[in-house]
Amino acid sequence: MAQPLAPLFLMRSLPPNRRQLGRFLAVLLRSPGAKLGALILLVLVGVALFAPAIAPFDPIQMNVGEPLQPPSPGHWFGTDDFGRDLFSRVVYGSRLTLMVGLMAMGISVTLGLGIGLTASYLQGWVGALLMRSMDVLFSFTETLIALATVAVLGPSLKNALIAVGISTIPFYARITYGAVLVEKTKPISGRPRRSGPNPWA
Amino acid sequence: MTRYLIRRIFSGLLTIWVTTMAVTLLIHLVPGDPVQIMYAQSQSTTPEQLEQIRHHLGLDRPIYEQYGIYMGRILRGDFGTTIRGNQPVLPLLLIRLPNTLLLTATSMVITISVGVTAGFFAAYRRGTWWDATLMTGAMVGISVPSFWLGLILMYVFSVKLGWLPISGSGLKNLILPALTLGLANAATIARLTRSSMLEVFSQDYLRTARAKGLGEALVLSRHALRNGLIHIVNMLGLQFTYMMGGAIVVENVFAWNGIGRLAIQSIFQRDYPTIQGFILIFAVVVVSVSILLDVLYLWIDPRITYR
Repeated sequence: MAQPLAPLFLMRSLPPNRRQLGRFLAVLLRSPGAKLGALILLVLVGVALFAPAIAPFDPIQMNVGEPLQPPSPGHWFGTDDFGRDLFSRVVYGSRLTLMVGLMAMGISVTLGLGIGLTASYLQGWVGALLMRSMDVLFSFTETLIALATVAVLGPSLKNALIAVGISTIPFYARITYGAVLVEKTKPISGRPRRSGPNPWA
Repeated sequence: MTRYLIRRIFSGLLTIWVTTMAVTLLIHLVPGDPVQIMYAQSQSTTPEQLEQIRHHLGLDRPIYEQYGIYMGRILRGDFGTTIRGNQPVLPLLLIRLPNTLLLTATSMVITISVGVTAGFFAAYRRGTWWDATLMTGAMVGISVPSFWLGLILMYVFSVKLGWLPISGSGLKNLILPALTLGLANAATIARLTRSSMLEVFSQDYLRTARAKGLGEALVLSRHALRNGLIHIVNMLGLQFTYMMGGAIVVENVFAWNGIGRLAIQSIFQRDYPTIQGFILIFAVVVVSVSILLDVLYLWIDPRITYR
């Protein structure tokens, strides 16, 4: 199971204002690893955007004459059991993958982060209630959540994204919950609270 | 501490109870009738007969009544029988549970020994080629899907070298699926350990500890590792839970007779008693890990308080 690591990095690198954002980007772009990562991401987004121009074949057009071909100059990645061109399918598939990544992660990170942060900060019965409901949601397993989402909202790509998003909320909530507990013990989180500003800042 | 634990166990039991209720509601919400799925192939069954079977299984009663009957049985330790095949559910789950536990535990050992060591060492030797090599390895590990890693391992060690069996549920069969899961999780843990440790290594108290004349081993284990441990333990707990819920992909690739395959099968057949039994057992795992994590936080970092 792939478990994305985003929240910890996100929380540490969140820039409070624009000048810091600029400095953050400058540091980021000096690192060769970040440059490579940005390049890969750009290529992926480009492929997804220009899929019709890049893919040599129609991804769903079947060709019974040549099923399960190995890679060749005509079919770079070969063909599948229905004779469909695998390279074209991968190119078009990148659209779906990007969308799932963005939407599902958007749902789960936003809600998971929010719930974990609130529960960890407030504690008390609100915190307990939030984290215990995360336990309930966690117990359902992805498949059951997916089926239930489809049952309530109907089968569609959008609802599948929502289902994936919902099923990973407890994961991010837990990660955030633990991280915030640690941060709360540090003197830096005590001082601004005492001196007045909004604790949520 | 004791009071906290008692409160926590009590709320855990409550959580499990709410889960059983929610899951009963949920699976009746999902379209698809188990009786219809079961008799989809046979043309000769009349609607009246289907109705009779439904009545026999109690599926025609209102949902709260079904839940009441179910809870009454559960409290007496009876998990019911499967709709398809009429087998008792509990033994069905209990045969597979040790398999899943064994696979999970073995891969956790691999994850911890490989992941934490690699991440810690990469942070300790930050910027060297050790760091670069280990982190490239971790990146590859995160990017490679587990079904693919599983197939490659199977191809190399079973097909080409012939050292290990391809599939099954013996001890020798354990190595490849455990390696697949363990390495995939180790990659995540390695990155997480490195980033947590980098933060700790920049702290003043490590310099203080060294200045006090503490040995490097003690500085690293007691002062450094412990302070980065919460994030790592947290992630390990989540990985453990996910695997106990059934590492379905890996179980399928290696034909491992775990609980996850049974769960998926019963969900697609709408076998209500099996789904309910599985979720009940899984909820116990989720809640136990949740309590364990909360207690571990306190042990790792005594400054943490719950209020």
